[in-house]
Amino acid sequence: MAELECSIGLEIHVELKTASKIFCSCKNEFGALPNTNVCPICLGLPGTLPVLNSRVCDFAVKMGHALGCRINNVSRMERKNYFYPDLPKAYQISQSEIPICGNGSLDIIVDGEVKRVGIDRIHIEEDAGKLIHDDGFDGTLCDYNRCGVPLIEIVTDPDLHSSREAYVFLETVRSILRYIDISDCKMQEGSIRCDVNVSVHEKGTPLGERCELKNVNSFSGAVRGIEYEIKRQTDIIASGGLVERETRRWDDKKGVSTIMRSKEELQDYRFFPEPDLGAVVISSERVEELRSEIPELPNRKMIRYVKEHGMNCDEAFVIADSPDKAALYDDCISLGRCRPRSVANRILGEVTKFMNDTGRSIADTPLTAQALCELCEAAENGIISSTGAKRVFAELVSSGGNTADIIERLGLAQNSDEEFLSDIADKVITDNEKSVRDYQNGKSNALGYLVGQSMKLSKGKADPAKLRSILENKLKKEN
Amino acid sequence: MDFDVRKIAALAALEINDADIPRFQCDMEEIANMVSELPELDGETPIPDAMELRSDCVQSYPADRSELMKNAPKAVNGCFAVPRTVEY
Amino acid sequence: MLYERSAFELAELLRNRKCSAVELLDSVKKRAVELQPSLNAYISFNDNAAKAAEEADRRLAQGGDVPVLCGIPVAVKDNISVKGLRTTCASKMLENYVPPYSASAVELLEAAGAVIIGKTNMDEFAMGSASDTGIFGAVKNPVNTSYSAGGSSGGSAAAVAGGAATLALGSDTGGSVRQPASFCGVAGFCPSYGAVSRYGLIAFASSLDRIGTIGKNIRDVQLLHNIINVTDPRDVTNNHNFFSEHSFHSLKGVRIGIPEELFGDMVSDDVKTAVIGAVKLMESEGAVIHDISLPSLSSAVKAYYVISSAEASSNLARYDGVRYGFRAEGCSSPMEMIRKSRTEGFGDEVKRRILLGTFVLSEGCSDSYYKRAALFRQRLCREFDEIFRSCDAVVSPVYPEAGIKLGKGKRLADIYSADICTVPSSLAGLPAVSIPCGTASDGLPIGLQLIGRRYGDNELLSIAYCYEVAGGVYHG
Repeated sequence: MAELECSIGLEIHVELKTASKIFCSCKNEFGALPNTNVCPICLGLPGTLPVLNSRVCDFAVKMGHALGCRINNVSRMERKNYFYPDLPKAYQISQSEIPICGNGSLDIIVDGEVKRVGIDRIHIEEDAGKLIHDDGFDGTLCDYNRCGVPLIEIVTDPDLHSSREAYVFLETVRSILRYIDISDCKMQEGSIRCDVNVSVHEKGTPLGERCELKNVNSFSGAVRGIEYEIKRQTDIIASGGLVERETRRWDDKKGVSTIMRSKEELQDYRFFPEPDLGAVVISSERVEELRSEIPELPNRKMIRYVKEHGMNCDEAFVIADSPDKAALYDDCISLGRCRPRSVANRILGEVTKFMNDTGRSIADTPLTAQALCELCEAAENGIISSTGAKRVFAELVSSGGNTADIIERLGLAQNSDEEFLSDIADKVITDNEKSVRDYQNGKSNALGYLVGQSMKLSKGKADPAKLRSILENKLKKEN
Repeated sequence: MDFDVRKIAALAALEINDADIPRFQCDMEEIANMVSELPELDGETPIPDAMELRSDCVQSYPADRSELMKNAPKAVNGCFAVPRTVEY
Repeated sequence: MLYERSAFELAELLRNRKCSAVELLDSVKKRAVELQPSLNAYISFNDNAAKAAEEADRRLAQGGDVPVLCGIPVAVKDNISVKGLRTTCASKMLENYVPPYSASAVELLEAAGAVIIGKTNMDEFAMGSASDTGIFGAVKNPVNTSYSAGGSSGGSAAAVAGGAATLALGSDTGGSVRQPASFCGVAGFCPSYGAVSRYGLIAFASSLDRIGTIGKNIRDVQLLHNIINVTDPRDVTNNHNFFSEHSFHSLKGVRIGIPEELFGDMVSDDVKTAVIGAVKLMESEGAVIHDISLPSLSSAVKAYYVISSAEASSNLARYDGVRYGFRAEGCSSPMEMIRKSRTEGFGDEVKRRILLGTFVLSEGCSDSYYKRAALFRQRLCREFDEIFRSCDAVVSPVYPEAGIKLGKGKRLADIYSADICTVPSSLAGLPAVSIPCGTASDGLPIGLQLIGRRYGDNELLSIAYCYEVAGGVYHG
């Protein structure tokens, strides 16, 4: 059998963090008591009409810029018709023929390799309500607080070829959303959800029938769902069967997908232009204004860190994913006073730990890039020990100030003067004949004891690495 | 004129019982015939005029939940209640 | 009697304290109750009307800048939401629905001190031509009760014609204000699309629906229209940027277009004679008559039924028995409940329109039905634009017949096709008004339709008023 390939396309639904809903002035808020953030409009009462929230368009255009999309100055809202108790009007106001953002692409970095993924479109639409199953009631309860929460839907081309690529893509999108600050990205609150289209086919041949997986609620769920689907389709092809186009429901708990709708039952949504709304027109000036608000994005940073600074992908992700850490890192690099590696290590180490422990961001502390650079420099030059560096860092994030002053004030300067260290080494060698002999007889760990004694003698101020090499040299000579 | 009453009724969430099918079949064919053969014109579905957008301001609805749920055929725990969902 | 008077006269009487709002309401309400068994014009009366009349009297007594409609009894079609007042659309689906909010037009009426007397009968969800598809039974013509009052705003037209309301709001999607006004011998105005906010008007076909006004004469419909002709941010299709204030003071030099397509064989002789007589009268008053042609008119009914049904199928999808409205009992799943509730809650005409609308939007049909209709509509608009370069108004019959006899079965296609005179201006968003212009041999009133240019509502009403003064059938 010819080699099989799988092509994966994603439809990612993102809840936008606007203050109010997309078509009415109700609060856009998660977790309120059922049906308390509702009004006649989002409940779909007879006679009500939608009015589009301008910030929803702004946010969609920003994401369009982030994904290199063509922005349509004129787009149109359409109705997607289907019946379900969570959809009060029995149609979702969405976009179909003319979305707000057209073709674009996103570069992601997977296992060190840069990969370009095509974006088909980004459109705006309204979210539906939530159905609740309560043990105390034999039925389904409808809460419409989520109705009308604004969404963007990002649709990719089928350019992803493994669950790993899909995962990295999703992580990259999430990271970008946080950078441009248009979504809370709280997975557990369902603010990002995706549908996954998978098609397994012979390599080099056109895509076969695709299956759509619904109900994928986490990125790791997407990975498991995709792998399950690849296996399922591969098995069908291996046994000589044909994959049918269908919609399947992913059950992450059981780790299986089950059929929701077969080809024959695929829904006919009867899209047509929403007659209650006019065209969505966004001026070129506004489009450019929004473009200027887009910073360098985390995928670009990651690629730069890996390709130019020699980080591995995981390290690059930890720094690039956090606007705070990335800003600090990039500021330090542009000062050019220390090695990128030492800054990276500080950020991956102390900075990350500080942020995790305290939940605070670096921007809220008095720590400056300048001070962090000086700290790295002092450590690189052996002026302070690694323990000393941690104490200086703690001081910098709590009270700020100048690194040199803090080293001075806390008495952390590490003596790396050759003569001073040589004198100490000589004294320790004279005072510890037994250990010297042991070392010379091959017990290499005796060196550690001698270094320790020397450190003690220096009251901890000696540079341990330098001291170690001086001791080693002297012991070799004596032999 | 092909008009599959059962199929279209299912899409519209209507049930036309067997006894009524012939009557609706007849009516719908007559109507569908009447509206068929519109002139073929070139172009895409027209784009409407531009509209005014709303600024992103919260204005909570003044009435409380019970007021908005007064018309509910069945309400339980502040929610609209329906028979148990099996499908999704 | 007070109930016989026009709103214009009554406003004078109220302002001069020659009568009170309470007395006026009493007179009109008594008349409405008296006529209810024979006309069936109302679905419900407003229990708060008396209180509103007392409040109007207080405002009138205070004097100062009192709105002209203060204290005038106005009936509201039962598809326009009034907070706290049952609003049924004459459907079992909404038989017990009480809106928690009022339509923008209703808020404006109340703010102006108008007294909402009750909700008028209609075709179910405004779908019909004889006000006989609703669950509350047909509305009868005050002139001859074996005839329909027309539809779908039959209740509003019959109420005004019979003195059961001084003024009334109706809704016009494809002629639903103009045609019943014509049948009942009153004036009915359908403004430009975008003039009056649709917020709170229960949608039939959003791109066509308009709130129109019915009164005894042109001045009356204009009084009522002026109150509700206000920009509303809640309806983005409501647009006051382009309206012209221009008006005519006489028919001298007014250019009137006569489209040959609307005077064809389908129009009865009585109607043709009356309308042509009216055109002659206009000509004698100095109007310049042009024969014009709108080649697209022949397909207008098709496009109208495709677009209105498509939108209706979507607009009426929300009636699923979940949040409000009728719910079928004994269902074991939500989808079964939705299907059964809709099946039992809607009447046959509504079901037919939903089926048609669903069909024309369905996969494989949308391009040859919905899209073609939308493109056709655009072309029709251009044809009208062209006509209005050389005309100030277009004159036609309102309906091919003077009336519709109740209980007489007709082919659906024939019923639909008879909307030929009213749907073209509906599709093009143009203002149009129906004014009495004569009487058929059997005594039924006949209406004349005047169509104006988009946003030229004022101009159109001024032409209609000049015609009325010149000798058209004039009440009050």
